[in-house]
Amino acid sequence: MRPNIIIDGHCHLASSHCIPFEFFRGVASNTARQITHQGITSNVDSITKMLIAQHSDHMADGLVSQMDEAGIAKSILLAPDFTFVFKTETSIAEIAAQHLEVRKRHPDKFYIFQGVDPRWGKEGYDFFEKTVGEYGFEGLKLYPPCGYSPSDKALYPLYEICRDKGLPVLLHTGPTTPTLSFEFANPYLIDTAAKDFPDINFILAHGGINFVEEAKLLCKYRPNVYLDISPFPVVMSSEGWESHLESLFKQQINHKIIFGTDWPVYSKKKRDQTPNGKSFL
Amino acid sequence: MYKDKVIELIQKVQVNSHNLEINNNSRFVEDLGFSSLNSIMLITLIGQTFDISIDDHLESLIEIQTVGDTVSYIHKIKLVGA
Repeated sequence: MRPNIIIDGHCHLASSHCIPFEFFRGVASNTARQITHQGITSNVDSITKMLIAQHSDHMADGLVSQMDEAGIAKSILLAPDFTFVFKTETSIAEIAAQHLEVRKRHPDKFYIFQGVDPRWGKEGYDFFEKTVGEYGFEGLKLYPPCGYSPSDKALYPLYEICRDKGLPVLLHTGPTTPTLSFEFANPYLIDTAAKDFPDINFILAHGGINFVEEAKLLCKYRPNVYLDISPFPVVMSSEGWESHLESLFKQQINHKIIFGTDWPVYSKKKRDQTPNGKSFL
Repeated sequence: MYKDKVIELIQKVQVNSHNLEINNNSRFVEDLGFSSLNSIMLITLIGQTFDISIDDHLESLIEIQTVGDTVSYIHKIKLVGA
């Protein structure tokens, strides 16, 4: 049954202010390797510049336009905290303020999940409390490949805030930019925290396309664990994303599956998601 | 003459576009299914094929959304010898 409204459960502000140069550079190194093997000569510096140039939608006007065209009523904007591990020109506080401005500019369009690296300690705790209190943000975004387990006890004070306010926690799973370690990318790492905080809903970002078997099992047997399917068009499946999702939807965990695009990694627009002409939405 | 070459480059970076009619009004994302990676590949190829400096024209090339506008932009650059 088609839902009354469509919510994109996983997207980002396509703004170079929110993503560190080293993150782009890692993605560019993979891209350069890929397109060189397709016979296109390029280099990491050039691709890095192009990636940064593609992230100029600082106030989300382009994003809202795509949402409207795709029939998406609302999106969850995720603001991961890379500032502990990468040198950045923009602080995490400034990134949060930018997201707040975006929401003011586009009322009723966005929920915001704020990222905090647990190694900021009390400073990070106070910051997160401010974003979900004063700013009214609606969840916590974690990026374990920055170098911590999502069940690290240093996160528990943040989880206590989420539990007390009834907020969800979304954590990245799977490989990412090669300038980060993939050591903490496995979804099973959330299990201790999910068991210790049964009242918090934990969402495995990309769980429908990365470590899918592990994510499926966690969703099936841990009541408070969910997964999202972003960015499903690029799933590594020889049968294509349609067949992959069809299989996922037959696992009796449909009540745990959240739609997401991972914009700007992948477009919300129908054709972009459906090179063979089929449409998800 | 630029249009045929641009279409050839599009078909190289987005193999699924072979089955689609490509004309001046074709939009890269909406009509041809371009991802951000496809855009990077096409801009790289345009730079190499038409001897255009990507650094000098990146901002404009990133913003172009249709095949026709791409062809027009290449014409303009080649006319002024940039």
